[in-house]
Amino acid sequence: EKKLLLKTPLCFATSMPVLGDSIPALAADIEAASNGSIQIKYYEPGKLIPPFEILEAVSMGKVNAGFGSGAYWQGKIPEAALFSSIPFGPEADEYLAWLFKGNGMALYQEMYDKAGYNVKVLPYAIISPETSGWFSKPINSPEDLKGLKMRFFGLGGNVMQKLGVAVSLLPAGEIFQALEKGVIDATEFSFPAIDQKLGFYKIVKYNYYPGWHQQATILEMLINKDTWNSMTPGQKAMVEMATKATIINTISHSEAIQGKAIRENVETHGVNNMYWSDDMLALFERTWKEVAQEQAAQSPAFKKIWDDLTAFRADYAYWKSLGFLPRKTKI
Amino acid sequence: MSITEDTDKKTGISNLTDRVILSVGHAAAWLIAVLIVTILVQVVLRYIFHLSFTALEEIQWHLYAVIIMIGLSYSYVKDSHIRLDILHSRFSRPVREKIEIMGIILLLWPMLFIIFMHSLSFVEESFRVGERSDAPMGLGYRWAIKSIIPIAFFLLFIGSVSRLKQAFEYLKNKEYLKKRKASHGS
Amino acid sequence: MDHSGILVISMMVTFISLLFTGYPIAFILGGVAMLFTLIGYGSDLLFGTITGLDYMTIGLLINRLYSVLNNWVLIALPLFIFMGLMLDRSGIAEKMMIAMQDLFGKARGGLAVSVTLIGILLAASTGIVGASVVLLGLLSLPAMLNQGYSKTLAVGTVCASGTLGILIPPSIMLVMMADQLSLSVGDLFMGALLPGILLGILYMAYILIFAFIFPHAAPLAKNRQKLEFIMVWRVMKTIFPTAVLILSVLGSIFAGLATPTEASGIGAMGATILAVVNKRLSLKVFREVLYNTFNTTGYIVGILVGATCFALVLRELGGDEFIAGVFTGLDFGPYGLITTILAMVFFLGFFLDWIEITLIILPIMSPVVSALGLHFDMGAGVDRPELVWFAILVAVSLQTSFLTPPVGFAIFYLKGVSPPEISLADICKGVVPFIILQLIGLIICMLWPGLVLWLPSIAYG
Ligand code: NA
Ligand code: NA
Repeated sequence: EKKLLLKTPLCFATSMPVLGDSIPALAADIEAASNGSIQIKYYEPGKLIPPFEILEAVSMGKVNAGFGSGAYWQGKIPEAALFSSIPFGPEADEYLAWLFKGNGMALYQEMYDKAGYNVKVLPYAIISPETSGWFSKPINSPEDLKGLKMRFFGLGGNVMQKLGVAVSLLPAGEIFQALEKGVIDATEFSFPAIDQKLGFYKIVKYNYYPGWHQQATILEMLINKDTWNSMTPGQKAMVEMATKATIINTISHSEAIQGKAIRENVETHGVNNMYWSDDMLALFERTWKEVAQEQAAQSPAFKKIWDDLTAFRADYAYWKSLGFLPRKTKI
Repeated sequence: MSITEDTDKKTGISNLTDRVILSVGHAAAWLIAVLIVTILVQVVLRYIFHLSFTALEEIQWHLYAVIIMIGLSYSYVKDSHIRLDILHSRFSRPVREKIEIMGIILLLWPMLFIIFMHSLSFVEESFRVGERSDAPMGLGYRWAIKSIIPIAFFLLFIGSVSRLKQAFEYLKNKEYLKKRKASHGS
Repeated sequence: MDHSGILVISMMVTFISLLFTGYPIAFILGGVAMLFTLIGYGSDLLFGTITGLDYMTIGLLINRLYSVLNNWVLIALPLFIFMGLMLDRSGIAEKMMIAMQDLFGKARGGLAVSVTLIGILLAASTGIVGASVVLLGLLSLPAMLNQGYSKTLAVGTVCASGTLGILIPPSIMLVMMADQLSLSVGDLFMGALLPGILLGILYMAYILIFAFIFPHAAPLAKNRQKLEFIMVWRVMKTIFPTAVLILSVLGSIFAGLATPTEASGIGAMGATILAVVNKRLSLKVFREVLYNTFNTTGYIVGILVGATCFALVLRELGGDEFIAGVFTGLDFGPYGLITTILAMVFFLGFFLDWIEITLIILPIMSPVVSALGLHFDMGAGVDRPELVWFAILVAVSLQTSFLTPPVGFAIFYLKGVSPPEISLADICKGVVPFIILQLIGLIICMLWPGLVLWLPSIAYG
């Protein structure tokens, strides 16, 4: 069988739980399952190119594969954010249902094709809800948000901006310092186990839940289309299977480690776990709907995906309201 | 010693290209002043009026990008790119001119060619998809700021052509003088 | 040695040999990268190596170059240079240095010690080595030379003190390391603080001892007066505005009132205002400062561009695997292994900049170090103290990479602003003692992990 070396830049360090450490395992799986006919040589973020450049490099064929997340290409394809995570959007099981048994995957690939990117997209991870931020004091009313300087990413950032928050988008490494020096008052970053590693609890003690802005996040593997087309049917199937298997690996891993992290935050680091009041959640949701409508009005491509997802979710909501036990929040 | 202060007579075209690069550079240098003002405006807005604008922050790195990129060709014409001077200062002038010629053709030009060609498609890609900032309230027209790369490297290229020409002129004159000296001696 | 090892070594050798031609270093770095792209491509065709280098792959350069443009941290670079040049051109720097000579000229080496102190202050407020070195060079080099300091001592002091910025927090290097290792930036910042100060103290001790043994290398000020109250008052009056400017810029970053970018803008403005107050600002002066800032920024960025080309191609030729291969099958015990890693970091520092080295070393070595099962009594409350300690050791070794020729960024930065009588060779000679001091500092941190781990364990308690 034809030998293939996939040179693959990463957008998360392999030392990062779930987001990054799933990749060496994925690479090993593919190599073993293909009897060595496919090798993945991965490069830590920035080693070849910085994360935001990955889509372009894969599409042009400067590298033949890469890992990333739709939210990273928002500047190039605004609707790509919808395939990363959506405020008040689907949870993991619902998101996967839309992707693999709804129109999600077809729309996902079509989005790259229409935007003129020569890539094959394969989701490789879906991960747990994020926390909706670390604050230095309790946030009880919309007034408390006004004038707050906060680091916030993605579509949720538009929502916060509308609520009078001065939103900035600092890279991961600069958040701690900015927080410590008071350049920002608050930040969101990722799920509890990763937030804990970055040590935000050392400075700000109020950690808010639920992560309304990011209930589930999809990560993707991109392969240059020419490379993909040159692969044998067996090799293609192998890569598809391995990325799908990694979705199970990532969601189970990320669901397994959060509880311990949250408990440690409270018990050893003196963090207060907070849960948004119904009023605040309603406010965020109202504001998000305005933002979504604005986005859909601006871009037909965004609207098409948004409408399909909304239709899918309407049916699902009925099932969800009956099929599951009601949730109780322990706060 | 900077090339512009060189006492050697320069050909018209070299003079012209160097002057173009210097003028572009002098204009771009004023962007440093603009950058300072932009930052001060941001400071005032944030600390006095509690306002912050992503666009204003992005303007800062746009200005910075233009400054550093155009600076490359300016420093080149001013001959201030750093050299290891242990032996260089002991070489005779003709040897130094020959090194300059070889350096331009074998080292500088391949680098300029590769960066220039790839930067064109880099800008084109950005233009094609109408790329804008990743931040929701950021700036649009990313291709415009990206196009500073081919512009900067093109300026550097014409700077190097001019420098190459000067080096050849010098060697030719030198040869001519030597011949004339020889014929006078006989 | 396999083909790729041969390619990697010949690339380094080619680079070093070409340096001696005196062609600009930035373009040698870039040009050698292009040459070896071609050689790598040919080697794939002829010898069946798999460097994968070709016309498309080398296009990754643009994406790397763009990340230099799109770098928020570096916005402060031209502005700090502007501030230094403005203080210099407006005569303020000179006044301040004369005043400092009056104060410190009495003690042998006093001037150089005060340069180190300013270097520590600068380091604690920003972390841009280029800006620190240029600023210190402009402010203090003429004064030191004027007083008859030996060239090598003067330039060595400036280079080494300016380089402290990358170790003493805030530091972009520690930020990146925390990112790569998934460690808390806070722990690394706190961990680096004492080692950074230790280095500063080592420099100052060295300067004083050296000046004592070789008095002619650090002579006393010529027209030395007795330190009288009236003179101190005069000195204070001269230093005051500048000191307020520098301290408020540094202080505003330190206290979190301003980001480094904001503070650099304020500093640039402040220096201009001082020049106005000093009645030295004219349109001509302002224009000259702008042009010189522009020129200085241009050559600094030239080297950054060349270095990014060089590192990409070296990596694609198999440089990483070659380096990783050195460590496989070593069995020296924990400290032996760590010493080997640090020696490798030091060695790589001669050719590569710190970003490339951390990208090569940290991902492959941190799991190995974690698995060593080191245990420290210190460091309760620190997540993975052994990795924090290891990261700081790497950081201290990396600091030397700024000073070690042929690719020593601090050396290049200083060359650009020093008077013509100082050659690159002088600077290279000047930094040697300071490199040795850094290695001594490194050994101290290795022997006493508490020096690294104590602060992080109490800082956020
Ligand atoms: Na620093
Ligand atoms: Na070095």
